[in-house]
Amino acid sequence: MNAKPPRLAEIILTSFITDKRMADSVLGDLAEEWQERTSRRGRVAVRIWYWRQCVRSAPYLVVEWWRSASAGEIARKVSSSLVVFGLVGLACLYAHLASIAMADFIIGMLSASSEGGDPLVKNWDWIARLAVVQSTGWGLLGGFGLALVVRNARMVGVVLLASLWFPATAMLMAVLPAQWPAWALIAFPVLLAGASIVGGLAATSLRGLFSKRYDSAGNP
Amino acid sequence: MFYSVEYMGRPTLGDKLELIALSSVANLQTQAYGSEIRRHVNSLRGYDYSVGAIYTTLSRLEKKGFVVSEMTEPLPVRGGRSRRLFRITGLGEESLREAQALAQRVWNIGLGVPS
Repeated sequence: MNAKPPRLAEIILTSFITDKRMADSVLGDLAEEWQERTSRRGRVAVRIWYWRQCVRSAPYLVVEWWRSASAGEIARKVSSSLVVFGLVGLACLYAHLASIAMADFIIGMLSASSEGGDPLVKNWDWIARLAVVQSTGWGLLGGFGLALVVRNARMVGVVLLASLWFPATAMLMAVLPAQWPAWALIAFPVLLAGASIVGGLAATSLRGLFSKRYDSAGNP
Repeated sequence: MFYSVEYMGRPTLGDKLELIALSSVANLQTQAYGSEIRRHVNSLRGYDYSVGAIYTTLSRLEKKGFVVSEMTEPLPVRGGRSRRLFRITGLGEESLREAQALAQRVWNIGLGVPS
C-alpha cells in the first residue's frame, strides 16, 4: 500500500496557501490522518477522502487569503491577474474578429450548396461557436501563463482571473449585436473561467511535479 | 442607545466555528493541534469540517490574539513535517467566559428566569 499521500493533491493544495507554516501544518495533518486511514480503509477510499479534503479546503483558503493579505499583496495579485485578463481579453477580441472572417468564408461556401434558411442567423451561430472555442483556448493559456509567472499562492491569482470573466461578459452584453446567441453569453464566462482554472492547475501541477518534496526541516 | 463602548477596538469572536475551535483548543490543552482540533470540532458540531476550514479559523484566532502557536520537531508519521500546537491565551479565556455569560443570559431570558 502506498504510504505517501497523492503528490498532485499536495501540490495543488499548497498552491492556495501563502504561509509556509500553515502549508506545513495542513499537509502534515493530512499526512498523519492519511496514515491512520490507510490502515483501516481501502486505498481508493483514502485517496478520495484526501482529494475531497483538498477540494473542500480551497475556497476557505482563497477567502482567508483575501481577508488577511496586506494591501500590497492584494495589489500585486490583482495587478498580475488584471494584466493577464487584459492580454487574454485582447486575444479573445482578435479571436472574435477572426471568427467573423472564418464564418463568412465557411457560410459563403455552405450557402452556395445549401437551400433555404436565414444565412445571417447561421452566420452568428457559427461566429459564436468559433469565438467560444478560440476564447477557451486563450483562457487556458492565460491561466497557464499566470500560474507559471506567479510564485506565491499561484492558484489564488488564477481564481481571481477566473472570477473577472463574469463581470466582463456581463459588460459585453451591452455591446454585442442582438443576433448573438443567448447560449454563447452563458458559455463565454463559464468556459473562460473553467479554462483559466484548468490552465492554472496544469501549470501548478507541472511546476510541482518537477520539484522535490521537502519536509519541515527543508530536507528533500 | 445600546452600544457597548468597552468592546470597541477589542477583538471579538467572529462566528460559531471560531467559538467552538477556541473552546476545543482550551479543552485539548497540550494535544491541541490541527487534526485533534478538527476531530473535536467535528464531534461537537456533528459536521465534517475540512482541514482548510479549521486552519483558516485557527489562523484568525491567532491574529486576534486568542491563541498562540508553536511548531514541534518534524515527525516521521507526518511525512517529516512539524505539528503546530495551539494554546489559548488570557484574552482567549476571557472571551470564552464572556461568550458563556452571554449564552447564559440569552438562555435565562428564553426560559423567563429572573436575572
